[in-house]
Amino acid sequence: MPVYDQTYKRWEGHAKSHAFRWWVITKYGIKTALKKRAARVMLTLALLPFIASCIYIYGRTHFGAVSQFISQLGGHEVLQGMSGKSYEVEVEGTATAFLQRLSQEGIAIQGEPPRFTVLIPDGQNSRLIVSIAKQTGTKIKQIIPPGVGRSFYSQFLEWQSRYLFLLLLVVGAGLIAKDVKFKALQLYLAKPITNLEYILGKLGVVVFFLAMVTLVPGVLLFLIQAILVGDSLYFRHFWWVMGAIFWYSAVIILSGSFLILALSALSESARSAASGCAAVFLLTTAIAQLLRRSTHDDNYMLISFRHNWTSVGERIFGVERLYDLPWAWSLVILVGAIVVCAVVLARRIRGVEVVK
Amino acid sequence: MITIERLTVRYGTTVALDDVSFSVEGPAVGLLGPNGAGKTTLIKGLLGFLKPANGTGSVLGHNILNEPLAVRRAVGYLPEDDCMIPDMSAVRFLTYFGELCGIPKDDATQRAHEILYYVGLGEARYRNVETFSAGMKQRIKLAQALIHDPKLLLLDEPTNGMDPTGRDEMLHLIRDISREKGIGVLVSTHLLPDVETVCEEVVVLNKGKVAVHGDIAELKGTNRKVYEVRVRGNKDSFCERLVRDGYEWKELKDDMIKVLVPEEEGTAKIFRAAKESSSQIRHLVFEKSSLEQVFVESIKGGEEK
Repeated sequence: MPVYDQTYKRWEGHAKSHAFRWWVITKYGIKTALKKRAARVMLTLALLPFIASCIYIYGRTHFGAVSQFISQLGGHEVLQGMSGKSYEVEVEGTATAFLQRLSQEGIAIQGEPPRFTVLIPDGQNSRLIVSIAKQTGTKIKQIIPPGVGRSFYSQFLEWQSRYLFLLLLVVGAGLIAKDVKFKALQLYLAKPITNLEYILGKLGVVVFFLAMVTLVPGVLLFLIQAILVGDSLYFRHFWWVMGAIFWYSAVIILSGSFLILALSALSESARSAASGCAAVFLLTTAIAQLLRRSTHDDNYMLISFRHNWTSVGERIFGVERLYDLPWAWSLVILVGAIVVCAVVLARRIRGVEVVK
Repeated sequence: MITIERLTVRYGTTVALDDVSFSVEGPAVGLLGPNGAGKTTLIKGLLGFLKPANGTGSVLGHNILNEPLAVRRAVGYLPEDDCMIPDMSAVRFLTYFGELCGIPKDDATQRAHEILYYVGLGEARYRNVETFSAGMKQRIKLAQALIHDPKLLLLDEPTNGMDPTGRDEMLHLIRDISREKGIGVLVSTHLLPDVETVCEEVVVLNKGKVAVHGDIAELKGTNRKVYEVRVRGNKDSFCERLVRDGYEWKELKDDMIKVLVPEEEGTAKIFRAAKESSSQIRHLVFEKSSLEQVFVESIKGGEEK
């Protein structure tokens, strides 16, 4: 006897809301991609810089310990003072009484007023400095908590964008190409989903993987640093870094995702789409470098998709610029690329193949 | 079930559907026509895949231009092409499309199993769909069309590539769906026996136009017998007498005429008409009417025009 009654039954349940129909496509796409060994290897490799950065952050937030470690390089003394967090303090005037009180409290001082560095023992934070300043009538202009700054996150995301590029090829190239090859588009679009929901579903897969190597580790690093510093001053001083991580990640994730999906929709082969993507990244950079070197004009770097990312990233994080490029143009080029890719997707994603 | 009003679809300068109008009630309707007649275009137009140059239509009361999602919610579609998603088992394939239609995952999984048994793929539930034979692919396509419990199935060449046994089983399934399960069926095919087996109503398309539309029994003339007759003598007078007796006739090739005789009557009146018109009957053959004749004649009619 079969387990099931082998006849057709009507379904009398209630269909789910339409709002997250695209998520079904994303969910399935993520599961399928995770079955690929290459995707798993990429994700694991992308973890290594994150772990290394965590160790680095730990060292930087315990600045005193690291500096002593480097200067002494061995012996029992290394362990002494391997704790404490360094704050940069700027005061008005000479603040002699303030400095004396800091010394009495056992707080190490490097440099001289008006700007100097103090090493606060573990378990204490900026409140100790503020309270001593109040007691000695010293006016503090600013206190900068320990922590790695803008250039660290900029460099971290710049490094992670290499994994992002490889993940684009491994995960994104076949997403639509396979549906085109196996004529599955008409199956999707004959169901109650719109073309936009289909595109969103596929986009969700790429965005998930790219976020896993850029946005997620970036934000996690920021939060780990905040925990290690253990001072609310950190958030007040560095809050904008979180925004910079988000916006830079958004720019590279969205432009990369739209590019690979458009290339995937234009081809029946994942390999062709991957080759196209590699050409966009590597070839445009090679051409841009060649023209820049032969003409000594940095503006040629605008040809390079990859360097437009860098240019926008440098602006968002406010770090020193590698080339003298108008960043706004880089942003316009990236947004333009997204628009062109969206148009390609809108034209290619349809339930009928028209042969004229 | 389906109403089409003056629908025109163009691919560039090529007119695929030209001012097509008809209304069918089902439950099983055949869409017949030679290759390139516009059958697939019509189905894709019904699903909202194509933007018509002119005209409109409705499927189960939903306008095909303004409510494509409502149409797709109510309709299951079996495409002509071999469509699949690779690296997916049959159960996963159906569950996935069930979820896409808004069915909760548990319900979708249960329905996937039930429907796979129903279409005869119960034993192949966990096989990857790309390893399926042509016949199994047709069945899995039928299964995915049924997953969300549609009210109407649009089947584009459902027996394509199937062996005779598989074809019979598929037609049996389609007939069961339309007659026992209360699901309307529109079967697009160029295979006349498929339509005769499954459908009660037929729309014949030719060169993007409706060539014939009507009840199959009426079109075949199954309530009348058909005789092929050749007379020598006064043929006009013979035909006049046939009409006077209430018989219909049609001119055929080589001086032959086709005479439609009510089911309960014999050939007596034909002989009497010959006698009264002083003609000799030189050829009288009983002919079993088939849809093929209707089809061929309608296509010929279209070509002559």
